[in-house]
Amino acid sequence: MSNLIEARGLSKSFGSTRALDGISFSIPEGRIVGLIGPNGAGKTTALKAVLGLTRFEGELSVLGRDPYHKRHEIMQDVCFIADVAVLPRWIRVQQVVDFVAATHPRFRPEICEQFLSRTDIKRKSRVRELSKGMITQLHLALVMAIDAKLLVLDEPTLGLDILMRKQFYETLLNDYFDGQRTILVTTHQVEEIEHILTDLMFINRGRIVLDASMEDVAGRYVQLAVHPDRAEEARALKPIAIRQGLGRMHMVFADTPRNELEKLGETGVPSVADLFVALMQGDRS
Amino acid sequence: MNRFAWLMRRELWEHRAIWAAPAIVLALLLLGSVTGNVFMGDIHINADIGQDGDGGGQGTLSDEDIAELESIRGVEDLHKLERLEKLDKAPGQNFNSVPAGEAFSMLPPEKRESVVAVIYALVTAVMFLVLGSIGFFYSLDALYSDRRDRSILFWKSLPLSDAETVLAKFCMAAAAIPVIAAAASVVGQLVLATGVSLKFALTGGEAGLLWAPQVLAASSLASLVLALVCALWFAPLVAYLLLASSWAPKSPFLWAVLPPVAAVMLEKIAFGTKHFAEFMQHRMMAPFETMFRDQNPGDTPVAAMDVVSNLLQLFTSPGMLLGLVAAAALLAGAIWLRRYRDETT
Repeated sequence: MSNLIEARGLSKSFGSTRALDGISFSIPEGRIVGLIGPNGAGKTTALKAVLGLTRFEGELSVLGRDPYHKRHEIMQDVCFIADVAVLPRWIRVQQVVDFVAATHPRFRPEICEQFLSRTDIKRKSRVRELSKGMITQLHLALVMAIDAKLLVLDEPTLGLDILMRKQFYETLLNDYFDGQRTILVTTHQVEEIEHILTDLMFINRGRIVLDASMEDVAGRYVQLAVHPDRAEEARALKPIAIRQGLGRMHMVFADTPRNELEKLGETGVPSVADLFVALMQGDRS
Repeated sequence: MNRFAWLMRRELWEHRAIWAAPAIVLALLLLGSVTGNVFMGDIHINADIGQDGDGGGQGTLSDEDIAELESIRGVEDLHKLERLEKLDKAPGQNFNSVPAGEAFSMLPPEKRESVVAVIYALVTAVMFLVLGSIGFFYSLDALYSDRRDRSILFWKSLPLSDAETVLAKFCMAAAAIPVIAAAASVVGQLVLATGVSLKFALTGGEAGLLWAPQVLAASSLASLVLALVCALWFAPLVAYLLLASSWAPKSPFLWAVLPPVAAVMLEKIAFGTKHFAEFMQHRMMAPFETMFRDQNPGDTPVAAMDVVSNLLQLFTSPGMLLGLVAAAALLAGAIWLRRYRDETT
C-alpha cells in the first residue's frame, strides 16, 4: 500500500523558534491519524505544510506531489476543515453548495443534499445567521460529499458543545470513512477521538515524540494501578509517568514485561490522554 | 457555466453593491423623472445653448455648453432655461412661468437635442462615478476581506488556482464593472426618456420629447466606448489596488493610498518638482479629459461622436500600452502574494 503522505526532515522556523524541527513520518492509505500535541507544538504548521499553505524546508510529498507548488492540484483529492470559523459569513447555504458543486470535480451533490436534509439548515440562510453547530454541519456536508483521498481536520470541533462534537465524529466514522480514505486530525479533545483513531502521532516542540498504530500503543504501553504499599516495587521497574489517584498510584510503563506488572496490581491500556501526559512530561525532563 | 464564470458570480454574491447600486440609481431616476424631481436646485445658464458654433444641429455641444448644462438641475427648471433665453433676447422683461413640458417644446429641435444629449451624458457620468467608486473599494477589499475573516482557508481548500481567483477579481473590477456602468447608463437613458415622456404627457406637453433616437444611439455608443477605454486604461490602477489588497496586513486603503501620496510629497521636498503628481493625475483623469477634447477649437463643438473618436485616440497612445504592461506586472505580484503569503499567523 502506498503512502499518501511522506515527510522527510520537514522543518519550519518562525524567526528563532523552530516550529518543526526536521520531522519525518509517513501516512499510508486508509488510516485515521491523530496528530496530538500541546499548543505551539507545531501541529498546525505541519498540517499547513501538508496542505500547501506554508513554505517549509525538507521533503514533503502528498499524493506524490509537492503540496507547496501544486496546491490546487492536490486539492482535487484533499479536503480540509480548518475550524468552524472559516466558511465565509456572507454566503448563502445554497450558494456555497452550488459553488463547490461547480468548482470541485469530485463533489457529489446528492450526498450533500442527503446530509443537509437531516439538519435544520435552511438553504436561503446566510452562514452568519447559522449557529456554530450548524456551520460545522454545513461544512461537514460539503466535505463529505467530496470523494477525496485525504481529509485534514484541524481542531474541527473547536467551540462546539459535547453533543455536537460526538455527532461530528460519529458522522465522520459512519458515513465518511470507508477504510480507503485517510483522515488526519488534530484536536485538544483527545478522549473524544481516541476510539476512532488507527494511528497516533504525538508532537512536541517541533519534534515527533510518538508515531505508532493503536495496536502498537496497546502492545508497548501499560498502565498500572498499584496500591501505595507496593509503589516502591513498581517504581523500580522505571515507569515513565506516575500519577496519584484515589488510594491507588497510576503508573505508565513502556516496554516493560506485562507479567511482572500484573503481579503488582491492575494493568490496562493507558488512555491517549494519560499516555500523552506521560510522554510530554518525559519529553520535558 | 465554467469555473471562471462561477468565480465571477461569487464576486457578485459577495459584493452586492456592484449590481444593487446601479439598480438603485435607476430606480431613483425613474421615480425622479416621473415626479419631475430628477435634479433639484437652481440653474445657472447664460442661455446660449447651441447658439455658438453650428447651433447644435446634430446634438452637438461645445465644452462651454456642457459645462453650463451640467449645472442644470431640474427638468422642471427647463422653463427657467426658456425664460432666461427670452430674457437674453429681451432683457428686463418679466415672464410668467410655464409648465416644463411646454417650455421644453418651445425650444427649437436642435436645441432640444443638445439638451437631451447633455442629460444623457449626465446619466452616464453619474453611473460611471458610482461604479467607479464601487470598483475602487471592491478592488481594495477583494484580496483582503477573506484574509481578515480567515475564509481564505475555505477558498484555498477548493481545487482553484490562486491565479484563477485573482484574475476573476481583476476581470470583475477592470472589465465587468465598466461594462455594468455602460449598460446601466444606456438603461438609465431609456428610463429617463420614458419617465420624462410620461411626465410630459401627464402635465401637458409633448410626450416623447426626450426620445431622440440618434442622440440615444450616439450616447449609448459613447458609453460603451468609455467602458472599453476605462477597462484598459484603468487596468494598472485596478492591478495596483489588488496588489495592495493582497499585501496589506491591515487597512488596504492606507497601504494603497499612502505610498503614492508619500512619493508626491518626497518629490516635492527633494526636487521641488511634481512629475509624479502629474503622472498620477494623467493616469486617473485621462479618459475624462480626452473625452471632451475639442478637436478643432473654435469652430465645431464636441459631439457624442467626437467623444467616441477622442476616446479611441487613447487606444493608440503609448500610455495605454505601458499601462497594460504595468498592469500585467502588478497582477503577477498580486497573484504571487496570494499564492505564497503565509497566513499561519
